[in-house]
Amino acid sequence: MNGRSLVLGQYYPARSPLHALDPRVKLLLTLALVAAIFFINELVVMAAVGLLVPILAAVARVPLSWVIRGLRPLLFILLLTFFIHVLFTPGVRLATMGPITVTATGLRHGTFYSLRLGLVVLFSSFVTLTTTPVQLTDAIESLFGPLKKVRAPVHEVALMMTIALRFIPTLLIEAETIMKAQKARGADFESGHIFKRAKSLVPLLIPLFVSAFRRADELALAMEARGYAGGEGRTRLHTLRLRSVDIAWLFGGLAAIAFVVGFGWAV
Amino acid sequence: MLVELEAVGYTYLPRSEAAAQALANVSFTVRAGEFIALIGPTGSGKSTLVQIMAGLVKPTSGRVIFEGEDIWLEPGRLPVRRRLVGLIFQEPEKQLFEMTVEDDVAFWPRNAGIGAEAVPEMVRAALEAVGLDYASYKERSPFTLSGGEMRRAAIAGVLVMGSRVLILDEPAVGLDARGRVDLADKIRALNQTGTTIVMVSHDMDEVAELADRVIMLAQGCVVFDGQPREAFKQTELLAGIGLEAPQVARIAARLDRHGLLSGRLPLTPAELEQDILAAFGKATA
Repeated sequence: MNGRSLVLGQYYPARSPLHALDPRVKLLLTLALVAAIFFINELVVMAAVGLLVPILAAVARVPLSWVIRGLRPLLFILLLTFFIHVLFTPGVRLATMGPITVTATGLRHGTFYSLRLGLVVLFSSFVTLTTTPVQLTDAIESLFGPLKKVRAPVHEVALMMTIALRFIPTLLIEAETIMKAQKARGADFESGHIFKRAKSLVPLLIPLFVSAFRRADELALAMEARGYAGGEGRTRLHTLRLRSVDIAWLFGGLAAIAFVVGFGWAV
Repeated sequence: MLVELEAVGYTYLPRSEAAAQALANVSFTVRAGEFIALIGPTGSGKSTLVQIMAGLVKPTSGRVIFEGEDIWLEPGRLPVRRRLVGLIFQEPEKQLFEMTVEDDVAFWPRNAGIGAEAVPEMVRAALEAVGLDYASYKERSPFTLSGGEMRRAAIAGVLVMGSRVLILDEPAVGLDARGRVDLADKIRALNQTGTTIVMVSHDMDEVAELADRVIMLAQGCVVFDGQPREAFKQTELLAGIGLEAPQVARIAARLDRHGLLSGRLPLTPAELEQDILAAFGKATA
């Protein structure tokens, strides 16, 4: 394993009420919160909801800077949203620089829409920050459980997700080794134009696929050998169980969200 | 001086909480023609060390010198310099990818820009060095070979580089007894025809049979560097890192307690035979 620890996704290990919260409750509350954000029409209310981010970060014992970092991949889209609104909304003129006119409404809209987008991403990131991928798939399986009644392969899909997540680090390490082995015999993965580079990946991808298929085969065999028989009647090592704290969070959270949305409408 | 390591250190994920030191202050020189066995328990840093020796991993401290040239001073020349040291990874059959054995072995010559007319001869020589008949194997898909044949084809893919130093990271793992003996013979033959060998091994009998120098690694540090006979006298050092002297040496040590044997520590069955016969006053035929 090369003594290397791979951080998967953006899970931030800590002991906090938010980490301990039932992942299904987290998913449902996030869903409600994200939906609520789309109902808010007032910048002030939106900004007030934004204050929840540092509060949740404190509750989750995740550094605020770590949470904000989740916005990085979206920075471009956020800025684009902001500037398009600032520059192309008609209204009361604030300032003019050559052909560019900034309006007050534009500034308001720009702030509002980029805030909305940013908050949706930030709130969803709290789920992945405080929930391990395995817990998350468990929660998804449990929430979609009723679909089993109409013969949807919920358990199988959840199992596939878990297995896929489990093997990402393994395959990463393997890819690294194969890459080094091919480099040792003269492969060049770094230089050349795009077609040459794509072609240079063949010596990496073929061995990686071969080994992934072999692993899949061995895993299937090992599961069968241990009597794995799928979802029906299977018990779990970690059962998701709603505690009273979880129920309190769920209803408290829903009430708070309903209040904010209602308040937003009233204003 | 083919390869020199000067105070080489390696730390995984430096400057982070998970930082882990894999190697510390490792220095030694590989001289032409040597057969070095690199031994040490799992996690002692052997695999990292051989990747550094092959110029694939940059040490976090210290220098790696190929024929007098610090290889990390001019990284642009690395792909060319790497030819000096061929590295055969653990389970090298995992790196096979071409449609035919010939194409796979020809990977290096074609990348290195060697003229197309010279390639088949190089491939033939490499395959025959590992005991695979060129004519009957060249057209076959590497994925239809047996495990042992795959291993050999993959080794040929490194041998074809004609490296002056060949590093093998546990080459015999997973082979049957005959495959092991066979492979050991091939490696010995390579050494006798002038290739310098560095071999990582957990099989002390194999080390005793083949190596003329042993470097012992424990927790990222070199704890012994010398002749095998000296290495296997360090019983406390060996026990401390969970290794055992070769079986022959252990038998000799027990016989020695009864005053039966004395003098040199025999390492191979043939040496033990000589010593026992000598103890009974008989000369070896």
